[in-house]
Amino acid sequence: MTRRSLVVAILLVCSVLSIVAQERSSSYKVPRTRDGQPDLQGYWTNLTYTPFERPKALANKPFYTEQEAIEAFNKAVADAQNQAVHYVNTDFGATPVQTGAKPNRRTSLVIDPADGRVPALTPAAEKREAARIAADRAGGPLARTWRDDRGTVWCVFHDRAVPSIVAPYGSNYHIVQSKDWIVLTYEWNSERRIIPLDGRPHGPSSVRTYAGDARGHWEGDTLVVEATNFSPKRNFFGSNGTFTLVDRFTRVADDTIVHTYTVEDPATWTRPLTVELPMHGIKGPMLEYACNENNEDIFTTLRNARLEEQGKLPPPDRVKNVDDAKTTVLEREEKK
Amino acid sequence: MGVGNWQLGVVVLAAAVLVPVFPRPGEGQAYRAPRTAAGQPDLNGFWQALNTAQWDLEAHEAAPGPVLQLGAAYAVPPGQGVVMDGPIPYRADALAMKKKYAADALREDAEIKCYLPGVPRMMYMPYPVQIVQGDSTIMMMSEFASAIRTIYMNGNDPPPADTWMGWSNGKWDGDTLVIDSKGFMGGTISALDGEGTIHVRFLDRAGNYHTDGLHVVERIRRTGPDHLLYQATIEDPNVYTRPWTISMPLYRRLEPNMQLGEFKCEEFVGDLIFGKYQKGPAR
Amino acid sequence: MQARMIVVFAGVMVMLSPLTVGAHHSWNTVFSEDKPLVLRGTISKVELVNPHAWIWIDVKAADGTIAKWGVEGGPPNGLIRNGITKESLKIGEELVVHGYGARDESSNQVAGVKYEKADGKEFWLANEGAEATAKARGNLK
Repeated sequence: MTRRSLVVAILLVCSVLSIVAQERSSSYKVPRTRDGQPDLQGYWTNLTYTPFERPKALANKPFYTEQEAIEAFNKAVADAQNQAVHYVNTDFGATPVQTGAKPNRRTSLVIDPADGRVPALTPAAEKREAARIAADRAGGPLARTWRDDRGTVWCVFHDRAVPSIVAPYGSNYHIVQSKDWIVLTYEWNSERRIIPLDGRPHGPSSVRTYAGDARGHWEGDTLVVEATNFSPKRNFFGSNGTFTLVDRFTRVADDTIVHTYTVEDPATWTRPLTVELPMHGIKGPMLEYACNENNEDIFTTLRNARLEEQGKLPPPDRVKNVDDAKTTVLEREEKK
Repeated sequence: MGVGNWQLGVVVLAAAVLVPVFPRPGEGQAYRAPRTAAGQPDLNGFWQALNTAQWDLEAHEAAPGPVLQLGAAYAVPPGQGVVMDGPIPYRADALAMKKKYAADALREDAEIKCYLPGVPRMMYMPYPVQIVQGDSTIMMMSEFASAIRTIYMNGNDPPPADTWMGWSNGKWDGDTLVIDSKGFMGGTISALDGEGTIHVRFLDRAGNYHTDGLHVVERIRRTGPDHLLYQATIEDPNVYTRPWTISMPLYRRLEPNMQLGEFKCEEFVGDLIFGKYQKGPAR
Repeated sequence: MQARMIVVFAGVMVMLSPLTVGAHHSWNTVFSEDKPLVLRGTISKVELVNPHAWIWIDVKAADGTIAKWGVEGGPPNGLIRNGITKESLKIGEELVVHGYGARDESSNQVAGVKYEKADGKEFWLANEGAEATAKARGNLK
């Protein structure tokens, strides 16, 4: 076992204990497919109230006590309900609590580095990112082409699919297994990972893809997926596709899979990043996401940009940041 | 008719009965596919059509393509057609529409904009289709535009909404997988700009088309170690006077370590679809 | 707004605040948070598609002329999981829509947030940009 995978294995054991402690179950036997493999099939979501990065105030506190975890969970649920305007997710049973999320003893999804935050960029990567951001800003605030991220909707590849980042809603997977393959389809943009389990080598490094080149194998009851050869068109927290990714999926209860991943790129980060995303079971189906076919907003965005350039449309409003939003709500309530 | 003709008739009749009868060793009705661990005929693998159905489902002669500069590389090759009970039984008004759409194929054909191809078109496009057979769900995935079909085995639910790839319920009829699909989008959403709009769904590059009234029943079975027999019965009362059926072999892709490549053609058509409102190309 | 930064760090921003406008949306390049409006009309078409559902309504003006309006909603997957399908909204049914109008007013489009059916039932089908705006501005009529 490599040192890296040993570190991840230890972290995984710790996380399984934290989940299991909440479940109060001791020995769970993972159901098997007809081929005898651990069965990960079904519909799952990684929706959660746990923040991706640990709040600075909790920097030295990677775990809540069980009581604190329950309180933090209840507070997050209450905060989500306490709004002047309903969230559609609440009304339609799509919030984390309504889909079956449980309190998480972890205080962040990032579990390594120890402070629960994305590792620092290397000096070279900092320079690279600064140059990229400056070049992008030089393009001005208006969308010039469909590629510009200024209100255009990107339908080529949904970044949150691989490596996994929790979406605010619809952060769902459909998993289907055969003897030699496992297919994970993410709801957003119907991004799929079709992963061979037959031990074949990676493809040539001259062929780079958005979703990377993935190879899976079983280690006991854990599915391990190693992916490389990501496209340089990617930008994942500053890495232009030169990262390697190892995912681990372990089913720890009928309705829970613990998904952990480690992503490394010495050309970008000063150390690896490890994230733990509990997945809980949800009802299907998972409807198709035909992004390109329904991309109405991009036409309007580009059209409006041209109108704005000609002075025929005033500039758009900007939604204020979160703190302003809270202030507005409080002011209204006080006026009652 | 004299005695000589009667004898000839017997010989002809005997020949007609005997001639098509002998299958290749291991093929046809006699072939019994290996089973998955769940006891189902094993359809796992990579399959691809080797005909000109993607150009024109009906029998057709060679013809120049729509883009002069692409010359012979994009000319229409001749083909024997895959329609079993042809010609395609168009309603008179729909046949006129077919001719209109075909004349405007560069704008109307969803393939060009990298839109999802639908069913059955996905099955005979010139890209491999991977079948991954779970116990209760079968996934069929094309290399083209990352198209996915989810086949709900023993499913009975109607489509909750219309989609580009339809809603498919499947079951086994002996060794044949029977898939019943409905709930197909008939074109782009009404809000879409003219540049992105398509009005009907092409079944091939010749402009044979369907609307949201489409209902498809497919029958798929192994006929040998490396062959499937694929048949699809197509029904759309908005377009055709009766259901009609296509039939073709699908061939296993035998390369070692075969996998689908990533073909996110959405990236290649951005300037084509959105160019009218852009400041220059994004390429 | 550092648009590119939002894309790169979308995962971080989203997790730090459930109220953040996601990078996915073109919310305020298309619609205006200063143009809340209410429309009443009859449903002529329902397109329950990802990422945005579209409901088309015919709105009758005081002089009797009918204008066709497109109402952009949010993702339908949550609806469908909770039993709301294409059968739930009937053609010809009356609908009241509360939402935000487009920046380009000639386009007869509105980002719907809250909907009321004739029987008084309310439902919400908004994209996250529209919802965040309704909460932040508190000006949804």
